[in-house]
Amino acid sequence: MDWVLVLTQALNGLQLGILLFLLSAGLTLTFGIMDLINLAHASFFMLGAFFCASATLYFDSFLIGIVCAVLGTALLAFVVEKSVISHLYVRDHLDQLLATFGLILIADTGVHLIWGPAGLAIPLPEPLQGQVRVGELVVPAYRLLIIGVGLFIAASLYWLVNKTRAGMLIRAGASNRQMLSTLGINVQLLFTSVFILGAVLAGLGGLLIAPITEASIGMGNDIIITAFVVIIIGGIGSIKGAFVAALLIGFIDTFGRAFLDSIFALFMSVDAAETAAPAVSAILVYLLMALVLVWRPQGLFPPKLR
Amino acid sequence: MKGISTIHRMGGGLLLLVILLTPFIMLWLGKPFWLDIFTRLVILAIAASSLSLLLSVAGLASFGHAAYIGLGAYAVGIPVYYETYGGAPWLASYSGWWHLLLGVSVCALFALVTGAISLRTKGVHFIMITMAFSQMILYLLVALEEFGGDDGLSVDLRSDFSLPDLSLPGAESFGLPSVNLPSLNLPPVNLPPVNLPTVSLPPVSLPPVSLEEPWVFYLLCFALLLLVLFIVSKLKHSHFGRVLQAARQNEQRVRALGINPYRYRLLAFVVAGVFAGLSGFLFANYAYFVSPSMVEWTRSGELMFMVILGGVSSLLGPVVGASVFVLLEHFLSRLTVFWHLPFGLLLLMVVLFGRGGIIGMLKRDSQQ
Amino acid sequence: MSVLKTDKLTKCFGGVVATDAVSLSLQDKRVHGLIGPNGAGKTTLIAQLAGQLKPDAGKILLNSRNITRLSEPARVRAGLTRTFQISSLFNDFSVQENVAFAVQANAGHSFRFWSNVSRNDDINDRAHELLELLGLSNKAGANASALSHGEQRQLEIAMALATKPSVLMLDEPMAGMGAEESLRLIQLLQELKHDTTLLLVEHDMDAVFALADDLSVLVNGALIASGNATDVRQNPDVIAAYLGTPA
Repeated sequence: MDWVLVLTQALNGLQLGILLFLLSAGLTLTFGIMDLINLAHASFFMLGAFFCASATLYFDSFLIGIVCAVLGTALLAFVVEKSVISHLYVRDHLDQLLATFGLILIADTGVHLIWGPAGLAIPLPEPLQGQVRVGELVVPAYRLLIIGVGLFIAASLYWLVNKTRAGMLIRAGASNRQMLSTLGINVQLLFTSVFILGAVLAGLGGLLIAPITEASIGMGNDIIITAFVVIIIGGIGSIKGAFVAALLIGFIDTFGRAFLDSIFALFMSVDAAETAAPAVSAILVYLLMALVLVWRPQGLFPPKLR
Repeated sequence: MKGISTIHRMGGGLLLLVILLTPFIMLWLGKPFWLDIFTRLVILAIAASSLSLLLSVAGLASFGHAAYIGLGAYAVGIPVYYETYGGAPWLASYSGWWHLLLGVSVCALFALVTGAISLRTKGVHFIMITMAFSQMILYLLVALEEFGGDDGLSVDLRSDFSLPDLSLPGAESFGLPSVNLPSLNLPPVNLPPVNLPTVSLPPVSLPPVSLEEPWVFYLLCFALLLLVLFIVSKLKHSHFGRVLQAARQNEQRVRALGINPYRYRLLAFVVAGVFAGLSGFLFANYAYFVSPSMVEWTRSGELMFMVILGGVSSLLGPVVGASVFVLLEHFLSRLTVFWHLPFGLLLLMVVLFGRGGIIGMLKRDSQQ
Repeated sequence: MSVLKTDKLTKCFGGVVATDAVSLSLQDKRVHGLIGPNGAGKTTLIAQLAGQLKPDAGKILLNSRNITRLSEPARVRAGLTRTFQISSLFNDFSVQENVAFAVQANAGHSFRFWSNVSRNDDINDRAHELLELLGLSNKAGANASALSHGEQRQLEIAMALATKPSVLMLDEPMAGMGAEESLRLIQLLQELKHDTTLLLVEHDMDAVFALADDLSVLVNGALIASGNATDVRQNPDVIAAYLGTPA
């Protein structure tokens, strides 16, 4: 058993899981509290990457790039929430899907207009370009950063939601919106804040992956569906569920792609294994989702009903 | 819910007539590319009509409908690929009958399995799950390296619909078996119609219909559109359709009257999937190309937009929606490469300002 | 002969006991009134009998057949129908279409794809009959959402009757009805009694006492009295808990 290989893949899986979590946390929050299904989340993922790329290139500093991206995403989220999203809270989910789909089209074209059709690479600072050695294991330094940042954010979110007054409002809002307004809480402010928080998380996900994959148009449009799968499996509205499901999916997807052909080769011909494995590993996550739905349609950790 | 008025009916008929004739008129005026555009329009109208069975009649917002278009399309692409380059003899074929059979079966099976799972959920769960299953097909197609993966697959010829050769024993001298299953025919453009020159019997086989002729292909697409519209209309007004419509309005009530809507919805899901697969079959033939991008969820979104834009209550709404979409796309893209921007804005406007939103439109329209 | 019987039916929501070991028995072709203060759990009980809600414990028997696990649609097909406290109609359909659909639902499976159901004479005739019975014929073409509240209650009943129930559970059918409509409904229910067993949940005491042969009183989820209507009316516990001093 090649432990180095397994550990490397485990770290890969963790990285993917963290990324998915960053994207899903915002989704599940806006859904849990505002009952809003928001496809444009994918666009914030993309814009976080582009803002960071431009700022990094302009200021010649990745750190400043990150700060600018976070601020830029937050500002844009504020504008979008006030102009479009706030009208959608009372609407049916289908309306929300279609409207936010419209937003994606606008965002994608907007990015094309401003940044052009090609992708934008984010140059990493020197120390992050190298590798780290842990015994026999060699890991790119940047990967460790992503994992570190991701876990830190997950911990912060946990602290925010469970240990602060703001978090209490969030949890209260998730179970009973009407009650909040009767208690005199400014519900609009809460909604706007949650939306911005979600968008910033998505943007962070985008800017973290961009140094590896490049910032490109529509880069969030596929991964958002995987984020949907995460919250379906985790339970819509549950951050804990999103975390568990995101990591689960990260690991299953990564290990599937890495080891499925070897596993298949144990009981079928190498040729058959090599054709079947990529296909099956590509859909493994969806098979998992189907399984969860059959057995437990409300997800693994559904929040208490309103 | 009233029956449609005569004016409504006449308007619909007129629209169909215009769609049928315009490309030929344009052809006569020396502008052949309109045939191309209208072919695409009709194929999308078929796909949109299949979705409207789910959305307008049954109230099921499936955001994964594009998956069936892809499945139907690859059901042409893969057999043609194998027939041209060899391999998988059980799959390989140029025959349109086989492509259709394969496409219909795969779509029906996929709809049955995923529908059985999805229909146990409601509302936003349902929508997201249909998106996820469609994405699954996308990844599956991308993973199949042999068929081009991400780049897609060229389809060298259009489906062959030669009828089986029921010629008399004399035909064997031409190297053709006396009765054969519809498969493994070479593209008919190069073959003259089969005849029996020595025996004075009328030729038993019909001249092969070649879809390579654009106008022939267009007529086939149009005929299929009429067929799909006819079937959707029949279903809508039948016992079956009534259950779907009642369940859309008030599922609790339907159960309290002794009906479990699940099986009806599942069947509607399968029928809609098969019709969408049919449009995929046409797409593959139209474009001589299939690719996983046909299955992207954004395609499903566009399809849904077509259904809604055209008005959810009328039978021809999807046709109107598809027409507007294709024509808009054509004219806008000539103005700017950024045509998705006004398109996205339009979508936003329709959703925000369409009276009471889409679901409101769904309720109100069906009262007319 | 007990047509519908429950055996220690229990339902809890969190800490609240909504149905407290209720053992109820409906006799054939009699009207059984179910009364009690608001929040006593009457609608919850009906929901469990209908199959809309799953009880935590206990049994439900229809003609000695254990239907506790039977789905709601299956119970309707077995002859057990309910009406809703808040009218539950098809708001896009016309009045006629509402009833016609109920008739269609009762006429076997609906996997028919070819003929236009709105031109089906059998269904339309039967729908027409029911509309006549409930006095809604002149509103047949109107949209269901355009009806007055009282008319909607009548439509609710017409639809329930279309299912040819052997046991019909009515949840406050007269709520919001005018005096004349209520009177007409009482007459209708008295006629129905000959063929159908009725369970009537009502706050309108005049109607209950005019119709009920048997009476059950539900307070805080538990049955404090059940039996012959005249006896129950004179039960001191019942008077104390609900009826007050008779006028």
